[in-house]
Amino acid sequence: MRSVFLVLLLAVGCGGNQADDLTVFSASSLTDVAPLLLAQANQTGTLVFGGSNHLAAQIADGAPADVLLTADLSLLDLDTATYQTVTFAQNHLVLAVPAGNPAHLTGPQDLARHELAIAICAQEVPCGQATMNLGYPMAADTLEPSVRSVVSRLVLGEVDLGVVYATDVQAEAKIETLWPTEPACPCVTYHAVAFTQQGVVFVNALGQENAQTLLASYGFTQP
Amino acid sequence: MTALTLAGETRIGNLSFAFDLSVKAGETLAILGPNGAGKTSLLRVISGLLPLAEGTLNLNNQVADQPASKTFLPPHLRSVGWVPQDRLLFPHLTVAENIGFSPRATDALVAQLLEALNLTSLTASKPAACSGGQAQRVAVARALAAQPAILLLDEPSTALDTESQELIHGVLASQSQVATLLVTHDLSEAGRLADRTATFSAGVLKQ
Amino acid sequence: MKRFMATVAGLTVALLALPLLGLLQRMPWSSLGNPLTNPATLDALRVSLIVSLLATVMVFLLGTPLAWALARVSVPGRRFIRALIMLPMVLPPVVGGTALLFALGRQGLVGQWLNQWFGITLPFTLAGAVVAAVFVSLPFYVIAVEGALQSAGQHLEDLEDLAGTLGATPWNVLRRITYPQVLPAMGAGLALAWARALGEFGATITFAGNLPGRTQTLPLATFLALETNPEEALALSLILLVASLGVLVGLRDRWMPTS
Repeated sequence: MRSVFLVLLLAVGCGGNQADDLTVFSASSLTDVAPLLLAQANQTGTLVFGGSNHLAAQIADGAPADVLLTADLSLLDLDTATYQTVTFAQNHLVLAVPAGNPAHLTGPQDLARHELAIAICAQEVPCGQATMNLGYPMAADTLEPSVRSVVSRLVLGEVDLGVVYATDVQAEAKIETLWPTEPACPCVTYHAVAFTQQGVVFVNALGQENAQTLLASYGFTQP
Repeated sequence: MTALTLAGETRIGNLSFAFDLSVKAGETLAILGPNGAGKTSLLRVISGLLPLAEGTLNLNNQVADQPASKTFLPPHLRSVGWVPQDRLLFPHLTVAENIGFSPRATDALVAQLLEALNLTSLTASKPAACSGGQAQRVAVARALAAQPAILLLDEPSTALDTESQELIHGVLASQSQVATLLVTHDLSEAGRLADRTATFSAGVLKQ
Repeated sequence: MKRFMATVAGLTVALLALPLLGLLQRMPWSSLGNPLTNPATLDALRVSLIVSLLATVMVFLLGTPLAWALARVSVPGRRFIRALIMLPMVLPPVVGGTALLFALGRQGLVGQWLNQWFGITLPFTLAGAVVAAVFVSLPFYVIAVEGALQSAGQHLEDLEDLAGTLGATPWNVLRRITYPQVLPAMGAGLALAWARALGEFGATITFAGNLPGRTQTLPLATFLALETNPEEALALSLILLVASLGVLVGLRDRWMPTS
C-alpha cells in the first residue's frame, strides 16, 4: 500500500504534548491556512495533514484526533450526528491560465481545443472527480496525480490551461482565474468535526468572523 | 628495389629513438639489441601505430610517414604484415577466420597457409584451443595472408617446439618478394633467416 | 565470525524479500485476469513497452559512443564527466524530471527554441516519456560497456591495432574486433537499461505527464490505481515485478561489469 502521506507540523509556540494541546487532522488543501486558524483561536497543538480519505481511514482506526478538517464529510465512516460538526469553508474549481493569459483564452469551450496544452487532475484523485463533474469536454494532455502538480504545470508555463481550485490561484501569483470569476458550484465543502470537548471550542471558532476573514484571504468562500 | 627505407626519429615520453635502415624486397634484416632498446617502437613506427617525430618512412616507394610534409598513411593503408611477440590472435574467431581476417586475404591463400603450416586440423578451432607453437603458426599465417610487402616478425620462433620452428622457418624462407624485419634475441635464428643484421645501441639503430 | 556474517546476511535477504512477499500475499490471484486484461491496463502495457524499447534503442545509439569515449579518449576532467553521467543513477527521478522540464520544457532553456523554431514540444508526448526513460537508464548501459572496455584494457587495444595493420579500416576494427569483445557487457547493460526504463516513474510523470494511451506507463498506472483500486495496482505491480525479476535472473552474475 502507498505509505500514508503525513506531514507532521508543530504549531508555532507549541512546547510539546501538553494537556491542552489539540490534535487536528486536516485536509492537505488547508496546509497553508490551518496553522493560522489554530493560532488565531489561541490554541497550541499538532497538525496532521493528509488526503481526506487517508485521514478518515485513520480516524476509523482510532487515531487520537480532537478535530478533523475534511474536504469530504461522506468519507468519515462515523455517525457524525453525535459530534459537533461545522461547515466552515467552500472551495470551487476554476479554469486557470498563466498570469496575463498569454494564449488569450476565454472560457470552458477552450478545454476542448486539441492544439492547447491542458492539464487536469486524474480521475483517480478527488480533484479529478470534481473536474469530470464540471461536465465539459476536455482535450487534456496530462492527467496529474494531484492538483498541486496541475498548478506547477501552469506556473512553469508548460500548459496553457488547467483546472485547479480557487484557493490555488489565490496562493500563486503566476497564475490567474479565467473562469468562473464569481464563486460557483460544483464545489468542495469543508467540514470541521470535533471529537472531544476541547475540539468543540476550536470548531465553533471556525464559524466566527475573524476565522472567516482569514479563510477568505486564502481564497476560500463562505458556505 | 627498396621496399622499406626509414631515416628518422620517434619519441615516446622522454625517450627518443633514431632509426636508419633500408630493406629490399625479398631481403631479411635481423634487428638485434637488448630489451628496451627501441625494437618495439621501430615495428610500431613501420606499421603506423607510432608516428615519426621527424624524418621519412618510405614503404613500397610511397611516403608513409613524413612529419615535415604532414604525410601519414594510417595502418590499414600500409602493406605491412605484423607478427607480434604475444601473437594477439582474435579470441572470438576461429583459426581460419583469424588467418583470413585481412581484406587482402583470399580463400585460396588461407587454405594454402593452413596446409603449409600444418594447421588444417585446427581450422574451426578457437585460438584458446591452440598450443603455443600452433598459435604462433596462426599468427604467422595471418600476417602472410594479408599479402604484405613488408613483414614484421617479433621473436617469431623463440621458445617454440621444433616442429613449429621448422614449419615457420620453411614458410618464411619461401617469401621471396617480401621485405622482412626480424626482431630477435636468438642469434642462431638470425643466422638462419637473415641476410643482414642491424644492432640497436643507445637508442640508435645502425645497419 | 562466519556464523555472524551468515546470520546478518540471512536477515538482510529476509528484509529485502519481505515487501515482495507482502505484495504476493495480497495479490488477488483468482481475479487477476480482470485487471490484467482490461483496456486501460493493456494501454499502459503497450505504452510501457514502446517507451522502454525506444529508450533502449536510444541508449544503445547514444551510450555506445559515450562509453567508448569515456574508456578511450583522455580529456581533462574525465572523472567529472563520468560522475555527471552517473548522476541520474543516484538523483531522485523527480529531480531529474524537473531538470528535464527546465531544460526541454516549453519554457525551458533549450525547449523554448525547439518550440519556436521547429514546433517541437516534448512534455506530454510519447517522445518526452522516451527522453525521461533515456535520462535515467543511460548510465546503467554506459558503466557496463565502459567497464568492459576498461577491463579488456590494453590487450583489446593491441588486438585492434593489429587488426588495423592487417588492412581493416577503423570502423571495421570496431565492428569485427571491439564489438565482439564487449558484446556480453553490451547485452547486460541494455537489459539493465531496459528494466530501468520499464520501471521509470518519477522523471516520466514530472516531465512527460500522464495521459492514458500516450504517456501513461505501467508504473504511472500503478501509482494512480492505488488511489482507487488497490487490486488493480497489485496486478500491475506483478507485471513489473515479473519483468524486472526476469531480467535480473537472466543476467545472473553478469549483471554488473567486472572491473
